[in-house]
Parts: sequence; C-alpha cells; structure tokens
Amino acid sequence: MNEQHPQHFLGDTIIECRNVNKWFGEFHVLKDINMKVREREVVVICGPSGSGKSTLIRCINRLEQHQEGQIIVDGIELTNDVSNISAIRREIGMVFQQFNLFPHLTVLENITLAQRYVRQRPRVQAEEIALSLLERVGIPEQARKYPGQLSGGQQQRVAIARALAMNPKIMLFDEPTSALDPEMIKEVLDVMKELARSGMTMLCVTHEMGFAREVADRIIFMDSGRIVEIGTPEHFFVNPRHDRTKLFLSQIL
Amino acid sequence: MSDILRQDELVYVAPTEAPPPRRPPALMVGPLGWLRANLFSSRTNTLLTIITLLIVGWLLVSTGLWALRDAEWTVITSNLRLLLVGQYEPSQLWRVNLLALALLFLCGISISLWAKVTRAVLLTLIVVVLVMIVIPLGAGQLPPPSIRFIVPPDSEPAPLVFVGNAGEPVSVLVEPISSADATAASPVFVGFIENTAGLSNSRSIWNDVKAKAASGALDLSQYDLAFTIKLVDTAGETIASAEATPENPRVRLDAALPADGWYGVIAEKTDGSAGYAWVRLDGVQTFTTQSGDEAERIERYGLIPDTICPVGVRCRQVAERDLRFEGSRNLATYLSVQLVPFLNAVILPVIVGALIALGGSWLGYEVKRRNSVVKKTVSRWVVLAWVALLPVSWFVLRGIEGAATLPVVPTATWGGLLLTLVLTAVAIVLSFPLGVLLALGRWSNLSVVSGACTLFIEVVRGVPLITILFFAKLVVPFFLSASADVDQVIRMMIGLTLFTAAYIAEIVRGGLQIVPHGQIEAAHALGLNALYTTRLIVLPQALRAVIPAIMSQFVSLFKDTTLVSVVGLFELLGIIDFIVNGQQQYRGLQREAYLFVGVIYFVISFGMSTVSRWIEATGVGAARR
Ligand SMILES: Nc1ncnc2c1ncn2[C@@H]1O[C@H](COP(=O)(O)OP(=O)(O)OP(=O)(O)O)[C@@H](O)[C@H]1O
Ligand SMILES: [Mg+2]
Repeated sequence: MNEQHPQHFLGDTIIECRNVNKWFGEFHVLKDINMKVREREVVVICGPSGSGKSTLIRCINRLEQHQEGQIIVDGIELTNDVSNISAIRREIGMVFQQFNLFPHLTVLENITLAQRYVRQRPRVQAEEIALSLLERVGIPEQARKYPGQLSGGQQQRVAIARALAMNPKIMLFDEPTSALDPEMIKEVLDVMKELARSGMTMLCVTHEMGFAREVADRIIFMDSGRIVEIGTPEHFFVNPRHDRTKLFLSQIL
Repeated sequence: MSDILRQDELVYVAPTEAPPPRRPPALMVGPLGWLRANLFSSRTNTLLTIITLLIVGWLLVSTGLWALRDAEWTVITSNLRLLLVGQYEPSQLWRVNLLALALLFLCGISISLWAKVTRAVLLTLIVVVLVMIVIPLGAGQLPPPSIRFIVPPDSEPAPLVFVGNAGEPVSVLVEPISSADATAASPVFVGFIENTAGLSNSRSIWNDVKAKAASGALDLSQYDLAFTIKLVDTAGETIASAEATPENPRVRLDAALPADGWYGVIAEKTDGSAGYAWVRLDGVQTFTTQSGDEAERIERYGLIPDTICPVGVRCRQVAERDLRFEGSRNLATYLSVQLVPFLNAVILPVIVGALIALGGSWLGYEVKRRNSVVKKTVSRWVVLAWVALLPVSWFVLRGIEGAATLPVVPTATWGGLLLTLVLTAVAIVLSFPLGVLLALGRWSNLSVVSGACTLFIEVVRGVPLITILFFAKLVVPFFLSASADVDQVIRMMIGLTLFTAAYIAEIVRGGLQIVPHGQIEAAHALGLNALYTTRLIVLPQALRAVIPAIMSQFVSLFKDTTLVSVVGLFELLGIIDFIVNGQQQYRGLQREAYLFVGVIYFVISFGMSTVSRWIEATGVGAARR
C-alpha cells in the first residue's frame, strides 16, 4: 500500500515455529503454533488477554520452554542445550511491559552491563555505544541517573537502548506501552517506528493498532492459545475473515 | 474580598493569580512547635512526658551518684589488661598493639578513600573506632600504683620484695602518720600491701589506727619512731639507705636499679615506742598474679633470694593480688583517684591511635586528590590489606610454631575484649559468605542442594546457640581428626560461624524473594548466564534490601560471643568472674566491673548499628530513586 511496508526487502526466514505446543501444568496455553518471521520483517501479535501472546514470544528467547514442536531462530533450534540458548539470547533483544531495568544500576550501567559481561566489550567502548544509543532514543542527558529517577516513557526507552546495545538481530516487544501514561506512549512508539524503518526484525505484542497499521508487515491474531488469523494490515483491518477477529476488532477500534 | 468565588457554587474558576505562600502559624514551627507537637500535644501526652522524664531522671541521678561516689573503679584500672586481652602473654602484647594500629590506619585511609562522609558521621566513626581499638593499647602501659605499708611501733615490718629491671627509677618515701591524716574526713588515698600474715597486715593496722585516733585512744602527736630504710639488691647489698629519726622522719630514697633481678625494701628498727609511719614505694612494677606468671618470673629472675628474705621470714610481695585501694568519696577524689589513673593508663594509646587513624585518612585524602591511576592502585592495595587483615591477624596473634620472633601464644590464654572481637570478626567474615551461599543453595532449582541447605539451616536455627557451641566443642575434633587438638577458640569460631550463617541465610533468602522475577528474566534476555545474573543483578539487590537485618544479626553475634564461657574461655564478660571471684581483694566489686563491661558492649553494638544505618543511607545501600 505504501513505502512503509517494504515487503520486497524482506530477507530469509529468521524465526520459525513448527507445531509448537505448550502447557502450564494441565493448561494448554499454546496450541499448534506455526509461523515464520523473515529478516527485517515487523510482525505485530495481538489478541485478547490470556490468549498466549506473551507466552509465545517468551518461548522464542526461551524464557519459557515449549514442550512440543520446534522453534528455530537464526538457524539454531531451541533445545535444553545451554550453549544454544545463550547463543540465541545474544541475538534477541527483549523489551518488557514493566521495563525491568536494574534499579541498582545507573542508566549507563544498565546499558553497558551485558555488553561487558556477555559481549566482552571494554568499558570505554561499551559506554560509547551506550551514549550513542541514548542519543538515538532521545535521552542522552539521563545517563548518570538511576531508573527510579526517570519517567515511565524514559525508562522504556532506556530498556530499548539496553536491548539494542547487544546488537540483536531480532527485537521482541511485550506490550511495551501498556504500562505508560498516554502522554508517554508516543515517545516510545516513535522510537519503535524508527527502529522498524531502520530494518530491525521485530516481533511486537501490542494493542496499539495505529502502530500496527503504520509499520507492521504482518499482523498475527491469537485467541485461546492458537493463531486465528495472519495477514497484512490491509487484510487485517479492512477485510478480516475470521469471526473472532472481526469481534476483536469491533471491540477495540 | 468580594471577588473570591464561592467554591460550593456549581461553577468555580480560580483567580488567575495564585495567592502568595504564607508562613505557618508561629506556634507550629521551631523548637516550641516541636515541643508542643511531640511532648505536650494532649493531656495524656503531657502526663506521659512528665512521668517518663521523672523516671529517667531518677535512674540517671541515682546511677550517677553511685558511679561517682561509691563505686570502686580501681577494679577496672588495675584489671584493665585482663579486661582487654585476658591472660595474653604480656611480653607479646606488642602484637596486639601492632594489629590495633594497622586496623586503625586501614579504617582511616578507607574512610577518606571511599566514604562520602558528613562531619557528624566522621566524628562518630572516629569515636567508635577509638573506643573499640585503642583501649587495648593501654593494657601494656599501665603505670605501677604507689605501694604503701605501715611501720608500726611494736613490731618490725617484714621485708618487701619486688623484681626490677636495670635502669628503672624507684623511690621510697617515709611519711609519719599524723593525727590529722588518721582522723581527716577524707583521708589520703592509699594503696595497701595487704598480706595474709596477720601482724604485717597494713590494712588492718591502718583501720585500727584510724579507729583509735578517732576515739582518742591513740595519741599520734608523739612520734619517736626511728628506723633505717634500705633498698637492697639480689645479693643483699645495700643500694641506698636512709635514717628516719623522730627529728627527721620524712626521708626519701631515690635510686635507678643497677640490674635486672630481685630487690627488697627493708625497714630495720633501731628504736621505737610510739607513732606509725607509711613507707611508700613508687615506680615498682607489681607482680601480675595471673596463672603462669609466677613460674615465668622464677624462670627469669630465679627464686626470691634469702639474702633479701631470710628463710623463715614471711615477706611481702608487690603482687596485684595483695594490692588494696581505699579512699574518700567525693567528686574531687573520684576524679583524682578513680578517673585519673584510668585516663593515665589509656591516654597514650588513645593519642597514638588517633594519630595513626588521622594519618591514614590524611593519606587517603591526598591520594584521592591525585590522578585516578594513583587512586586506583592505592585502593587496590587497601582492599588487599583488608582481605589479608584477618588471616594475618590470626598468625600474628597466635604466633608460628618454632618462630623466634613470633612464639606461639596459646589461644587458651586469650581473653577479654580481644577474644570477643576476634571471635566476632572471624564469625562475621566467615558466616557472611557461608550464609549467602546457603541462601543461594536453598533458593536454587537443584533440589538436592536446596534440600541439603534447607536441612542445615532449619536444624541450626532450631537449636539454641549453646548447644551448637557444645557440639562444636565435642564433635569438631572428630571431623578434623588429623589435628586432634584443635584448640577451643577455633572450635568456638566454627560454632559461632555455623550458627550465624544459618540466620544470615534466612535473612538473605528474604532478600532474594523480594527481587522481582522480571529482573532475572531481563538479565537472561540480555544473555547473562546464571552466575552473572546472580552476582550482578540478584545479589546486589537482595543484599542491599537486607543490610539492616544482617547488621543486627552481627550485633547479636557480638553479644552471643559471651556464651563461649561454656568451654572455659574468658571473653569480655566471662573475665569478670575471673577478676572478681578469682582475686580475693576484688570480691564484691562485680557491679563496677559489669557496668564497665556493659558500657563497652553498648558502645560497640551502638557503633555497629550506627555504621549500618550509615551504610543504608549513603553507601552501597542507598536507595536508588
Ligand atoms: N507461569 C504460568 N503458570 C501458569 N499459567 C500461566 C503462566 N503464565 C501465563 N499463564 C496463563 O497462560 C495464559 C496465557 O498467558 P499470557 O501471559 O501468554 O497471555 P497474554 O496473551 O500475554 O495476555 P495479556 O494480554 O493479558 O498479557 C493465561 O491464561 C495465563 O493465566
Ligand atoms: Mg502478556
């Protein structure tokens, strides 16, 4: 439809779920999930509360374990092999609804910590990277503060910078704006849009339909642990096929 | 005022200009306001304030009066060394002093290197450190008290023997006792030699003289006591002598001792009918009457030679055991008799210690002003020194088998504050990491590890400390069978460490529980492995949250060290029993000793909790918001 959906630039498949099933005890939370995400693609996952969106993206960086099926990220299958898991996690950045910044470290230390201990970068280099990322998310002046001294929107932008500092190939967002006041949502979404335009592979759980419409290449709609419908924004908003999707859209739009 | 809109109307619009801020009513601010708000806010509060003040005031006044008027603080001054280091070999006390100085220096340099301290905190710290560390230094430098005995008219006093070293100045003074002395309301303060041999018991003679002079049965104005006073050496040769005659009764001998060995002061009566005289000795070291000292004295100086003390004659010895002090009771004598000797004993070490600590902090300050490379190297060395301090202290205090300069000082002889602090320090340093490991073990997902840690923690916490100490005493040797004679102090250290570790583990577990799971997820999502996540994310937050609880556990540990008396170790509290009941002349002076020791415990505990509050407020524990 417009140049913000650069379908033709998409690369190879980078995330693939094949028949993924997961249970919490007796509770079947993910049912036969099949999906693919290609490099530089922006995929938005939406669906009603409790439908398993968070669980799905947390399975992708192994914060949760799936019990059946395969998840393949960047050519590596997720198994219990610890070295696989850490290899995968190095390539995937994640941003949480509750920010999860480390409250005992300054903003700068939050961003440099994993660079130094996981990427083994020297401190000076890590700090340079951190400062340029803070510049990119628009809060270079907050580097020496502690997370508790920042607004929610600023904290979430620090969290994004922290994830980006690891040079991930993929970014996962789990409702990054739903803990924020309306005034701050925009500043976070702006950062995410900029990131999408720069060609980052993104998998976002969000209810920001405006964002989805504007930047998503595809939208995945989930309900009760299964994928109900996948489609481009045009398809999804203009012409949804499944009744559950129509019901959901009628409720939130 | 007409333009003020009524706010209860349906529509209200505030005026564009906000009203200027006003001062609060006068009665609500300042000290008066504080008094009103906190002490006299209501009728009940006023009543409670007055009652509390009365009770506290009465307690303070009565304790104060007792402490300044009736208490015999000499029990503290003359047993200071016992209280501070127990029966630690006196000739090796330099080791304790050296370590105390090293500790002070490290404290000083560390404070100015790392702490962002306010002046008040600095002062408190200095005081606490001084009290904790410096007082032991006084132990070695106690001045010998003046020793007196009475020469009565009707019998010849027994020779007085003492040991002296070459060059020590000694003076002997003869003073006739006038009726004014004997009947004065506040007689001169005196140190007696009290000997068990009935007749030469100066204390009973003195009491007798006082009583008779007061009732008029004895006339002290007649004085025709005449005797020769002699200072003799080991061979019986006279070093100095003087003739005390009725015309010239007040004589004085001054001598520098020619060699190490035994000396005697002998009063040979030439004639005598009436009057009493004091013989006062200054500069004479008293015999310590602690176990082992006598044997060592004999080894060093030989037996008391019969040239001084002929066979069959019962001699007085300048022994701590036989010293008795008596004096009048008012503030002036309290100061001169009770406080000044104490201060004399501690002043030099306090000054030396303070200088060392200040020197350290000055050095730290200078280093801090230099470039960061210097600061970094120095900081690294200081950290290293802290880490090395405890093991080094252990070897310095205990000595090394077969080393000439550091002969072994058996830990069984350690006592007093030294033992208390060593036990506390070792148990703190060992129990903290052990407790953290136990907590992490219990917290971990590995069920065997977690089960084992839980079992240990629950068992130890379910048992009284004293049981653990008995257990340590009886069972540890089985585990360490290679060295079957593990000494009692080490066993107690193990017991205290295990006990404290279990409590620390529970405290830390509480801290671990309050770290939100999201923190761990975020760390994992960044690729940090379990070890890094624990070390860099979880533990710092968990420990910071529980600093106050951990510190208060350490304060309890400090007080719990008193229980090691169950295996016959005399720590600070246990040594009181040794002092008061083990030495006949201090019988009945428990109150003074317990009060003194109580004050030491309080000061140190209070210091620890102050430090804890300070860490919470400024240091690694500061709230990050
Ligand atoms: N650790 C867990 N143990 C048991 N059940 C869980 C756990 N985590 C999630 N669930 C359940 O799994 C289901 C899916 O949870 P999930 O968090 O993935 O939903 P969601 O789609 O992200 O919902 P929301 O929009 O509210 O965040 C929910 O019914 C939830 O109660
Ligand atoms: Mg969710």
